[in-house]
Amino acid sequence: MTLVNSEADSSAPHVGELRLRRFRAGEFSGEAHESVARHTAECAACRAKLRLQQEEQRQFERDIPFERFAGGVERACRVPRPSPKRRWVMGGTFGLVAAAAVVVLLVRPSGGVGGWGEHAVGDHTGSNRIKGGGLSAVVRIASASGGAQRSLPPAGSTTLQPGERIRLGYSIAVPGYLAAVSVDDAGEVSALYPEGGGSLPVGPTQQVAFLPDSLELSGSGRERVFLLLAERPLDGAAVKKSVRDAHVRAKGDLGALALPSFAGRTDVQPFSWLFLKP
Amino acid sequence: MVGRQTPYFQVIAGEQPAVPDSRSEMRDLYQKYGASVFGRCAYLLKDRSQAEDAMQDVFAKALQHYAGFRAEASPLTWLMKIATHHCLNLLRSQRAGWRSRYEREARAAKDERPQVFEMRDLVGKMLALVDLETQAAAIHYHVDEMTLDEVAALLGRSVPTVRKRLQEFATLCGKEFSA
Repeated sequence: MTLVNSEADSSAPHVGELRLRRFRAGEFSGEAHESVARHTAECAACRAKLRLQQEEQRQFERDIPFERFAGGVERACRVPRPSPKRRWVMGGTFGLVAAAAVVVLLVRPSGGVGGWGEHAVGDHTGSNRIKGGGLSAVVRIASASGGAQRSLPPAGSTTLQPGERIRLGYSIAVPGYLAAVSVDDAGEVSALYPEGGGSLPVGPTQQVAFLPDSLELSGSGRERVFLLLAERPLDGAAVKKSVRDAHVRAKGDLGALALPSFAGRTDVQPFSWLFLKP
Repeated sequence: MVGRQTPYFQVIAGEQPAVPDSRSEMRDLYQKYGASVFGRCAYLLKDRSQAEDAMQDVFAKALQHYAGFRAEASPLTWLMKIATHHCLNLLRSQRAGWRSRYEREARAAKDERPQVFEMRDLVGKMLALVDLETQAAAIHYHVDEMTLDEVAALLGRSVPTVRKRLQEFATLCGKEFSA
């Protein structure tokens, strides 16, 4: 047994695993197709491998029916799962309980159904900047032990205990867009939802919808989380820049950080929470 | 406990998924590539539930870049590269857990040296010993049985670089077995 094949292996008599899979998927045409077809007709080993791949597909279709596959892929398209590159981790068992409890814990901004730009930027409690928006946001916090949960209204701050995780929820009465970012004491801005790109299409919701996965903020010091709801798509780079600029203006004091603003945009409704990490 | 819950994100009416208009495209992907991508995810993650989530993420990426994906000379090669990279990153994020598991397996493999191992099993057991790029190179070379040229092109590296990484991988594996 060798651990590294020599270059000569590229001309080995057998068809490679991936090449066989491509053949099965119909990716070859012309001479390439004929070549593999001829070989598999003559080579019992490769024919057996091909049969095995075909059986794998049949087993896959039995285990994961198409509707389940399609539903899962569509969901992943709508709301990308947090990437493993993030500074926090996913998971937790508190979400179902949180989803049930949040209706009564939800903090609705007092602005009511407002028009565009009717409310000044500045307070972290949020106000309705989307016409007919019915905007609200909430953070749920759960301990690692699965004990009692607590909620944190917009503009709230709290000290997180070791292992505590947070989950972001929102409601919006009309279709809109969402982005969530966080910034730490050092001014490092992290995109939370979505991790890449601009913003997620959301709504309308009749009740609070929670973003997938709970988040554990890693490191120490403070971290401010922003959740933005807007009528039109948000640019991810602009969101991060806005938060970074606010951090600079506040001289790194997350407690004094103003809500991010977006030039020429009056449809962006920010919500914010401040966490002291364990 | 840290881990992923089954997604329970509310599916919102009126939301437009970033997928092709017809499900026939998705069915085509499902029938042609489903088992291959799922198999790669399951091979690396060793957990069927996590593998299904990862597979969905990989196909979601394909659909979000559908035109480019379809223009690929080999859509399957693209999918396998994305799946491999995605799963290796997932494993890296759970470093302590998966590394200790793979290291246990490596020790077990050493203890059972006389046994003949499938190359894909051996590579899987030894992944914890090397960096991310070498892991990807080893998987594409040994498991996908791609040529050095193909692996180099896929990873955007030169052939000598890939060869060197594979030789280092082989050396590490050899040390494990001779220790």
